[in-house]
Amino acid sequence: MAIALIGLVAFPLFGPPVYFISFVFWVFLYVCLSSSWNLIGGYAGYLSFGHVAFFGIGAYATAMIGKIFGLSITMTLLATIPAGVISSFIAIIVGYPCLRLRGPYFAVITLCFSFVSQLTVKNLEFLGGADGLWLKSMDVPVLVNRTIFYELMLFLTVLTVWVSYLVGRSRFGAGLRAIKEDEEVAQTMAINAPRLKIMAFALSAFFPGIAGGIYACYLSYIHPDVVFDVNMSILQVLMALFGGASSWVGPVVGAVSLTLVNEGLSTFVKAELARIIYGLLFIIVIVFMPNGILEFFSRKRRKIER
Amino acid sequence: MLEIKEISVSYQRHCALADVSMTVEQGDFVALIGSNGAGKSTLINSVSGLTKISKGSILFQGETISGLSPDLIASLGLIQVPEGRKLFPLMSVEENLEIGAYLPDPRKMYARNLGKMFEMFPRLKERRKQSAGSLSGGEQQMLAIARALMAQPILLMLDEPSLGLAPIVTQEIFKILRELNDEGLTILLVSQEVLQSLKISRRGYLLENGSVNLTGASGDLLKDVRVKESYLGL
Repeated sequence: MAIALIGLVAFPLFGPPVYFISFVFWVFLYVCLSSSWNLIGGYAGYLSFGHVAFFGIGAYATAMIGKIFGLSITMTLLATIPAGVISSFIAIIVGYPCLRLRGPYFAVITLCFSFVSQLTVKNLEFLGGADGLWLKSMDVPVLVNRTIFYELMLFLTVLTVWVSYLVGRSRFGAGLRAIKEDEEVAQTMAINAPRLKIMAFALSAFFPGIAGGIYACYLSYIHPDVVFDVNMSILQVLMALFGGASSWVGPVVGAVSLTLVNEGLSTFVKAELARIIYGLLFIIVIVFMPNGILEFFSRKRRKIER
Repeated sequence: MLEIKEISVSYQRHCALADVSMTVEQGDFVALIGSNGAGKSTLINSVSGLTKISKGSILFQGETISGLSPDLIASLGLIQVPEGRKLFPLMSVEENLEIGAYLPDPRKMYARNLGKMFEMFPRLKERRKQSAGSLSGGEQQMLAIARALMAQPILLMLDEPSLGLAPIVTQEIFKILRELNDEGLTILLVSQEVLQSLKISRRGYLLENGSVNLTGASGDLLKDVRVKESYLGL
């Protein structure tokens, strides 16, 4: 584990092409997003289909903090932390009414929430409206620039996965799992379901908020269509479910494998065909491995061992 | 310990409970009997906070608990074993017991209580890693009781623990309840098994059409003509 981590930290020092650094940056971003989604979606079973909203909110919050205070790009990067807090705060306000809904109703209302936040940003003049916002860019060579963002995203991703691991093992996580299986019974076992759900939702909005901020600095230009892209919401859900949403490993495996497959397909196969294969893969996994690939393979191994 | 004062509950226009009063003393073993639809589950759910009462009040250890949320009531030590067991089917036996010991105090005693439960229900120990959904009906009921006991209840409420079980398993479970009460646990038992529950309990309440029609020592209820005719078929 430690060796793999050191390898990942040192990776850019071996001088790989910029393309690879950017690609791994994307892998980290998705691991971070699907792992944090998993806190509410996987552990508590509340499938949020609008989680990109928190990514977008983080991106805009970071950009605005930088703009209002006229911060340098390095200071703007520090502003991602308050941006994460703002994301969590909005999650608490939104979650309070929304988390009373269950199943498909919760999925739909969170989806609507992400559309509403996108439209709100598009129509607010001081947030740049439909023109988007420019951020200061770093005055360094591309490779150095990419490496800095690579390391930042790596740090955030490791932090997210670590928190997800800790939550999974804690009393908090046990409470969330009980809520997932049967909320009424959980409450009769002294579990304060409304509070636990809000806490999980706020935590699951915190990391995407920071990730959004880092992403904003990385691109140095943000647009509502990019940082509130509904596809991103759907992807993080699919990645978590693909890997297996009941543990912290699932979203990591799901995000890594799907990003690799997607990139591989788009590089080696025609774009149209790549989409079709990608879609088929999802159908296969959902139909034959409803609990994710991890559980599917571990079950198979157990069968062989017998 | 538990005082139910003239509570009424209605579902839309249908009245499920009308001015029902009941008390459970420390160390008591109360059986709440009656036929289907008499309001037994409604009564126990009102105490747990799962059903809102429209009139009256419920006091536990001198404090009003009606209107509190279910998790708050449970944290006071009023633990329910729900009807139909309601385990967490995908979790293992041990994980279910862990959820039972969710509150800080029971959690500190987790290891000790777990040992006690496995002593009381050896079959759960054999199946500790198995998922709760894969257990037999009797084992599931035992797990439901053990999960509730892990919370270190002051008052244990059971809703139809014999539902769907073979007579011999029912006897086993009732015997365990009797032993728990002998050790000092206060129990409120809801059951359609009139004969058996009156045999093991100390006092009984007969609920009919949403109101208490008869109450007294369980032995006396067993001799009552009305109970004999309507419920025991004698």
